[in-house]
Formats: sequence, C-alpha cells, structure tokens
Amino acid sequence: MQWPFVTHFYAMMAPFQSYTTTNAELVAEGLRSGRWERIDLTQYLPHSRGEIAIRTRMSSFNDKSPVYLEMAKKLQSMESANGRTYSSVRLVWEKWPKSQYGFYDGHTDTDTTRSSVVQFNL
Amino acid sequence: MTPSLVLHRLTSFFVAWDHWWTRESYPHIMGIIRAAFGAWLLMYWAIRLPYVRILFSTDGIVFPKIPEYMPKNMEWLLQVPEPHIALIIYSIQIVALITLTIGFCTRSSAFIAFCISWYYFYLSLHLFHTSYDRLYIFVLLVLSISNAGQYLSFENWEKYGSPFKWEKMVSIFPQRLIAFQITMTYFGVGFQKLWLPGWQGGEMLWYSMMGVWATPLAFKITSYGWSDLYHVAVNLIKIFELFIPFSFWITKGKVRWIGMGSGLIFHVLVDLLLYIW
Repeated sequence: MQWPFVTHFYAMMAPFQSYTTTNAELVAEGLRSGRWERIDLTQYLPHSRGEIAIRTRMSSFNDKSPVYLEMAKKLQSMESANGRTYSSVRLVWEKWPKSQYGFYDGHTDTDTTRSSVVQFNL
Repeated sequence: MTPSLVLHRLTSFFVAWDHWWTRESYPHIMGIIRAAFGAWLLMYWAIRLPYVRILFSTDGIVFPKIPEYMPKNMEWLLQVPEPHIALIIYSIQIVALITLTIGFCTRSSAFIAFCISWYYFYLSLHLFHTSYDRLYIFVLLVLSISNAGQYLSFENWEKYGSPFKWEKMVSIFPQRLIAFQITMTYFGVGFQKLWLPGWQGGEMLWYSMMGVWATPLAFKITSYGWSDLYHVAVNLIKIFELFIPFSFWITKGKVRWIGMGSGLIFHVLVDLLLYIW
C-alpha cells in the first residue's frame, strides 16, 4: 500500500502479526589498539530493549545501507567526543535461539550467529 | 417491495445515519476525554525531557523520514535540528499540551500539538511505528476541530466562573470519529488474527513472551514450560479483541461495562507481560 494515509491507518491495525523463534540485536563495535570493543548503544538510544530492537531495524527505509553507514559514522564521532577514539566502527546483527529462561540465555558462542551490516573506517 | 417503499426506507436510513454522525450532544464527554488525553500526552512527552537533545537533535542518532506526500520545497522542515532549536520545538509541544489539558485556547493548542506530533513522527517516531503514536496524532487532529473546550476547561472558568458550568450543546461528530477509529483499530487488529498464520496457535504467545518485549514476569511464566494453555490464551486474545470494540456500542444490559472491564484486563496483562510502554 503506497497511499500514505491508508498506510498510516492500516499500520494502527498491524502490531504483532507474526513471531520468530530467535532473538536478535544490533551490536556496535569499535576498533581500538587492534581490538574490537563493544559500544554501549543505550547511551545514545535511551529506550527500552524492545524499542531499540525495533528502531535499529530501520524498517521505514527501503534502502537501509546508507542509514546504517550514517549511524556508524555518528557513533564514531560521538564515542570520540566521549574520549573513546576508534579507527573503525562496525554494526553487526547477532541472532540466537529464544530461551524460556531469559532474553540472553540462548546467547551462547555456539548458538549465536553474527552477520555484518556495515563498517565505517576513519 | 415497491420502489417508493425502497426510497422511503433508504431516506429513513440516511436520515438516521446523518443524525448518528452529526446530532448535538452534551459537551461533557469530549471535555473529559480532552482533559484526560491531554494529561496523558503531557506525561508521555514530559518524561522525554532529559533526552530531548539525544532523541530529536543533531546531538543524537536521528534519521528523519520524508513522507511521500511532502512537497520538495517543504522537506527542510524535517532536517534534524540543532539542539537549541530542538529544545524550543519540544517546549512549544509541552506548552501546547498543558493548555490543551486545562482547556485554554483548546482548538489552537490541539492543532499545534498535532503539527508537532506529526513532525516528531517523521523525525524519529516512524522508526518505532507504533499504533498508539499514530492514534495520538489522529485524536489531536480531531480535537482541533472539536468543541472539547466547552466543558471542564479554563475557557469555561473564565466565562462562567466554574470549569464545570456549560452553556451549549456541541456536535457529536468529533466524538463519533474518535470512537469509530478506536473501534476499527481494535477490530482490525483482532480480525486479522483469524487468518494470520502466526496467530493460529499458542506458539505466538509463547515466543512473544521470550522476545525483546518480554518482562521478567513473562520469563517467569515461560520458565514453567510449554502448555496447551497458550493455545487457549491466543483464542482468548482474539475473542477479547473482537468483543471489545463492539461492546462499546452496545448499551443493552451491562455489555458496554463488561467490554470496558475486558479492555482493562487485556491491557493490564499486556503491560505486565510485554514491556511496550
């Protein structure tokens, strides 16, 4: 549906249409002294876990690549302003099987898959 | 059935239809809705105060979305603003919501809050794309064409010396629009679940209660393991979502109140199990 008003009203009726058997999270990492360090996204995205997960899907954009690249650039400059200078920043999707005991309980080295989204080199 | 009888029945139907949408009504309901809704939105926006710069300015990670219907020469409106501009826009939104809540310059306040909510939606909230953010924008637009300031308002206090005094009946049209939209929203959400593949079994609920929204209580429940009760719960959700919107319109017996009670239980359960708000 392309008509924006139809889309606007239809979207009100469209929450929770399907489910997945895995959990996923966008992870930001910065390269410093030859090591990749995890960047805490919650300091820049002050939302609940669910909202961060939805927002970082960038599902409003047809072409997500430039948006993710812009996000990596922005993270590099914001981290630098906070005294953590990274020569590269990369975004990675981590995915792991859902567990009935906790959100990260299934997040093990063997069960977690990582897929690269974008990398920004200074 | 003769043609004249058909014509007569059609005319009667359209007269009743027109009356239902546009008759005059007491101003109390819209006044109360305006005050309650304004207070809710005020809280909804006020809790963002510590994060305004990060959420809505060049200091944060903000990706606006230009709507397809926006003219090219207006696209500058959705450029991410500098922090001081973002704070000014946010302050206007808060002031508009305060004046809307107390019923001072009600229509103008609702319209300003509508415009700024629209702006925030395309500046940032589009990435979260919730039903309720869209609904809030719609309700603000309807309030801006309503007489919701004719009761429980500062305007009435100025005119009559009491916010509880009132003088004239108002058009029921805005009230009908809001009620109809809420009905259709719940109906649409519930009706789709009758055929959506994901909603044909309890797995939908089981996996949702382990997902990004899951609260500690949800994990506590799932830790007891799978049960066929999840199938029952999914069917109860469908019944709730289909019953609630229609129950509001049924004045017979206590159906309306049962519907409201069901709605309350439904939303409290959602809130306890899924950390969406």
